[in-house]
Amino acid sequence: MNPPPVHSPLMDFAGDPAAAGVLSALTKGKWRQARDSAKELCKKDRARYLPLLVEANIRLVHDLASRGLLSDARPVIDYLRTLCPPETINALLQEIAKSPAEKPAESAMRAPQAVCATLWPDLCRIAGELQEGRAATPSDLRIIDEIVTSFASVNPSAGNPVAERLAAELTLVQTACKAAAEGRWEEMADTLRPLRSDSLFRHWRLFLRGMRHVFCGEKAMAKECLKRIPPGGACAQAALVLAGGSGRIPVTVRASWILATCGKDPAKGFAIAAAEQSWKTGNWNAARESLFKAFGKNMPCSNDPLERTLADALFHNPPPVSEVSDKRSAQYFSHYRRLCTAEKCELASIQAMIRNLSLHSQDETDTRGFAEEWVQFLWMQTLMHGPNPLRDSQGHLWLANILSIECVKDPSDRGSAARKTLRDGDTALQAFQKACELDPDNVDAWLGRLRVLEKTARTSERNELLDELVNRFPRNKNILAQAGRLAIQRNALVKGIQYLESARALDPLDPECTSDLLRGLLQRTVQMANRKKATPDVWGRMEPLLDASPDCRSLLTSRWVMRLRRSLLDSSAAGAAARKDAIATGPAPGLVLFVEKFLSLAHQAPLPSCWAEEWSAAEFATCGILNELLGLFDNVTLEDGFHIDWFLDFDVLLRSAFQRNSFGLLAAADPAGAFNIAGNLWVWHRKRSLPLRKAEDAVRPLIHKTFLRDVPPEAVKSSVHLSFCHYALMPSWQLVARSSANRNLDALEEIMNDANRLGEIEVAVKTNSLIKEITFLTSGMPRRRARPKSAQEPKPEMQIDLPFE
Amino acid sequence: MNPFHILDLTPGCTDAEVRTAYHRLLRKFPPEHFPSQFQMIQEASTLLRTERDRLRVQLTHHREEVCSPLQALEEFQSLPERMRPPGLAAFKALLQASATVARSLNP
Repeated sequence: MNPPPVHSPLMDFAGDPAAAGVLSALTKGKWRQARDSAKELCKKDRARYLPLLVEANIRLVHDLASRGLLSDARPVIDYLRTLCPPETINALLQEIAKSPAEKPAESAMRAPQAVCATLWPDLCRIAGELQEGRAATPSDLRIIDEIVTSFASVNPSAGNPVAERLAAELTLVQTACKAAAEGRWEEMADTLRPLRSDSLFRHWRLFLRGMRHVFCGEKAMAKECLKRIPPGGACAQAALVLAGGSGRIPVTVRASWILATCGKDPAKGFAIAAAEQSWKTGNWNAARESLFKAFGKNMPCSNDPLERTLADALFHNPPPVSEVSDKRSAQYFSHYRRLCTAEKCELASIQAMIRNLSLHSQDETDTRGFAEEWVQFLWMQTLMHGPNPLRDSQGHLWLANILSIECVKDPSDRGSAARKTLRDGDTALQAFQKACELDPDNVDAWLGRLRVLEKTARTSERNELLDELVNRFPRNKNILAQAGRLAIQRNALVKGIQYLESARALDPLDPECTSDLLRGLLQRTVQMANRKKATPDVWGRMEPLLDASPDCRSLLTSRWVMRLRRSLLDSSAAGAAARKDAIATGPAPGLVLFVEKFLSLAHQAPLPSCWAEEWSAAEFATCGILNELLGLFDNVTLEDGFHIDWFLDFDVLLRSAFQRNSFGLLAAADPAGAFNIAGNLWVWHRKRSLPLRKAEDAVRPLIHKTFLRDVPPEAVKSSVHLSFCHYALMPSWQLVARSSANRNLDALEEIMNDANRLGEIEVAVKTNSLIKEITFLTSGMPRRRARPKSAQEPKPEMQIDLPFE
Repeated sequence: MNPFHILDLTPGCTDAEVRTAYHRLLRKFPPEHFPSQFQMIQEASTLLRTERDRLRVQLTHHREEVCSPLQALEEFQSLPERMRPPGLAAFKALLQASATVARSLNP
């Protein structure tokens, strides 16, 4: 767009009441109304008001041309020829013919000079009022911003200092805007420096700063600046677009803006807007045509990132979920069928459609049809881009991976691991083989083939392939690791360990390799222990792989756990020394003994004679240790080989640990920890069917008492209260006997009364709301009133109903 | 998002070009200041490391969610290093459209 004239002729009419109607119509974009009013004025004084008539007609031509109504614009231009010199008409015609990039601007633009002329007196008035202390309203900001965005300069009358200052500041802001639009950020900052902090235009400084941060990728700082812009004006609306929102800005402007900021032709914003409109109404064909018209029919396979992004969106056809998407999908498939039968094939479109259809139909049950479609797509790739074995190999590999996903074929067999099969093992194997043939160095394809052979139990083929792969890729970590795992699986421990050691040598930091190797070495020690043979060298090879930290709780990689294993499996003096070391370097003795119990069950090795005595002496003094104990129990139950019969042993151990600790918990005033234990116990009780309900029942009154006592700080108390209500009480009354609801209501009423007595209003309100919630949920159930306190059995304050006797 | 677009590369690019693009973007978006962009760049470069990786992405990369043309455009604009100064015409267009909207909201 050309810069606006330095001094507008319309400024001369600013104080003319007769011209106010025309200026107002121009400001509102009502060109025809402005033209008619100007005609009336010309009848009175043609010489004075002719510029107004010309301006109104010129704006009308611009408006019509921007909307593509050139035939309507032509008579207006002809009329203008009777009013203006030929140079003005030529300039106008050139402006109309100028780059289409500016068309969106034109549609939203009004005569800048008219805007300035009309609003300038208002701006001066606002400046005066704000100086007297009035706060700026959204309407004020709208006027201020309209003057800035008109990009017209003003020539204030001399002797009016306020107007002169405003004009100078306006020039500063407009110059800074121009610098910002071209990315001259330093210049922009320098220009804005003289702008006073109490200026009417000060929010433009924020806006332009925000814009700078947006373009420099500093999103947080941009957001910080843009959110401080007061609402009401153009600035705030534009800030919404800059911040990534939309506001009510027309789609054409937004699309053109994005294209311009991505270095693309903003004129294509019209096409995007049209495509968007069609898309939203479900008219997929029209959306495609709009985009193809703007970007060409080769858009789907273009190398231009923007075109590819648009094509990806256009050709993506997910299952329809609404009426609009249904319509879009119907048009999509109809076009696909048309393309498939057309004589002149649109290769780019059809390959994009096949590709997208295949990529999104990978979960369908018709694996054969899906495979055929994908192979057809690969063939089209060859047609379009020439042969490329690596590409085809990758294509077949992707197909094979999809077909070799494990699934349950019969839906009635939900959860049955035994019935899990590959989606289409044979086709997957063929695809893997094809991928290997096309690219013999494609390790993933070889490994996939190995996996399919493994899953389909073709053991001899698998072993042959494994040997071939180890020879073919002697320095490939993945192959060696896989070979090691499979060898260990078939009990070829020495060979497996050898492979895994080679794999780990290639990548010592790979934790999976380390775990697999440790597992292999451990199996070897067990094997040798069963044969009554000592294996000091194998234990030695494990040492550098272990985690020496006492905080490590892994039952495989932790050094203290491995020492315990050795003490159980190695009857020599070294084994006894290993146990001592485990107790010395491990966590609390109680936890070590607990793990030792599990290991003795797992390895079917007897516990040392002193174990029971040591367990009785072990302390579980804090909630932390008890929680860790429960964590270890969880680890133990997840171990391979954990037997369901062992639950009872662990239940006994856990109960005894709790029995010794319950008083300690209360004395330690650790309500949050006690609560965690109660919650965890309940979870484990559900998950593992562990009969720990009694333990849970023991901890719950403990929390209750802690809660009632005024020991914990308010925040903890409040948190315990909420947790207590939601996790400790609610599940139990839902799960256990129905009468528990009454019991909980009694407990809650007690809490509420106590809170009222102590003046803890917040707690009382929360408790009251919970009572209502429980009452609502259990409505219809008979309410059993609690016996009066005097009638209850007397209990000492600190005594807890222990279930462990 | 398409990793090629994140690194501003074309499908026929070489290993060296991927490395160069990665280092260039890393200098511009250091992780301590631009964690989300850094993660995006890191993931994209991992996906495009070798020729096989690039061919796989080229064949099988697809979007999961439905999006309209304008949303696709907005997504494209949000990629690192994609935005550049729009020029005066587009900036004026945005501001004047914003003024029109503001006028309709506060007549």
